[in-house]
Amino acid sequence: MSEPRFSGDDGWVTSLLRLKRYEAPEPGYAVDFLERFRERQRAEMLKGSATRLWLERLGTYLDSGLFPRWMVATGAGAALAAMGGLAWWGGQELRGPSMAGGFPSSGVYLDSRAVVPVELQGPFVPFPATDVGQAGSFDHIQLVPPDYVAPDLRPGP
Amino acid sequence: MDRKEEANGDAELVRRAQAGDTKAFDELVLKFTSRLHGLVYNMTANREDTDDLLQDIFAKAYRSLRRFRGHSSFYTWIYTIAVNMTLNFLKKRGRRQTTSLEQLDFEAIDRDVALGGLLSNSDPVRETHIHELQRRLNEAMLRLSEDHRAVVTMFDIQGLPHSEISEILGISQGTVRSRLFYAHRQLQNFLEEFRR
Repeated sequence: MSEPRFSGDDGWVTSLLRLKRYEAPEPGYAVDFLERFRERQRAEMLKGSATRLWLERLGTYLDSGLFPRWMVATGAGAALAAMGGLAWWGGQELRGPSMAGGFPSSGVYLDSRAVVPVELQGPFVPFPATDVGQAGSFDHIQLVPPDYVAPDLRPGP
Repeated sequence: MDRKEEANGDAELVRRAQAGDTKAFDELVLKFTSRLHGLVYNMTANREDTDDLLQDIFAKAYRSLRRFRGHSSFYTWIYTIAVNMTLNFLKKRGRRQTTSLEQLDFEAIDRDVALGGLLSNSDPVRETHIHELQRRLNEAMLRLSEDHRAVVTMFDIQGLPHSEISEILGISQGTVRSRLFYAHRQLQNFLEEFRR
């Protein structure tokens, strides 16, 4: 320690502090530490999803001081606004004008506007998909005219 | 090995690690574990916290290594990461502080001439007195503010010059001297009974 002391009266304190130089972990600590560090790195590589790692790297990159704080804040705000806008737009698309009653509890999603319930799933759907889903009910759809008489298809005597 | 040679050796290891040589990074970990352990331990006074923080520090250094451009030495760079992460940890920990102290190397203490005058070899309960002093020193250190503790750790315990401390902490050398002055004055008050 070749630096000059700021005060001449604190020599005994700095001498006492020397004791702290001899507080040390047991021999072999560094090797053991390195082994645990490697294990942790391996575990994190396996555990971490690609998205998490990407976000972590983005955070470290932005945190590196290469960008002014206002730029980071503005970028984060713009990204949040864009995500919010996308979420709102997606919600509007899914709701649509004929989905006032919400989604049936089960069904096949053909596209964002048409839902086919399980009981109607099959090779043929006898009405346009846009008619489906009025408050989740299908009672209003008449498949046959009211005066229609079914032909007797039983085999004759 | 002088500082310049050491810095050149580190730069070569860093270059290899940046190119994907994990063994080169392992060498850096082995080389700096002891020094960084001393830094973090003397600021936290807790072995378990020190171990956890060291893991986080090297993990962060590993992730950020590609962006290290060598404007400062690797030594200064990783010290800066360590000090900042430890100061953040201490701010979060607040008053929830428990000490768990490292063991003392009594053989090395015996060889230290500067300590010899303070700790007489003829004292029959010498080890007990040294352990008591160790406990009180750590308590006194914890009573300092984190910023003051950092400069005392780096200057008085680790022997870093003012210029390096100022670079690591991003403050002027005058501020380093001023913090040392006030920290020493506080330590004199806390440890008055050990004055001879």
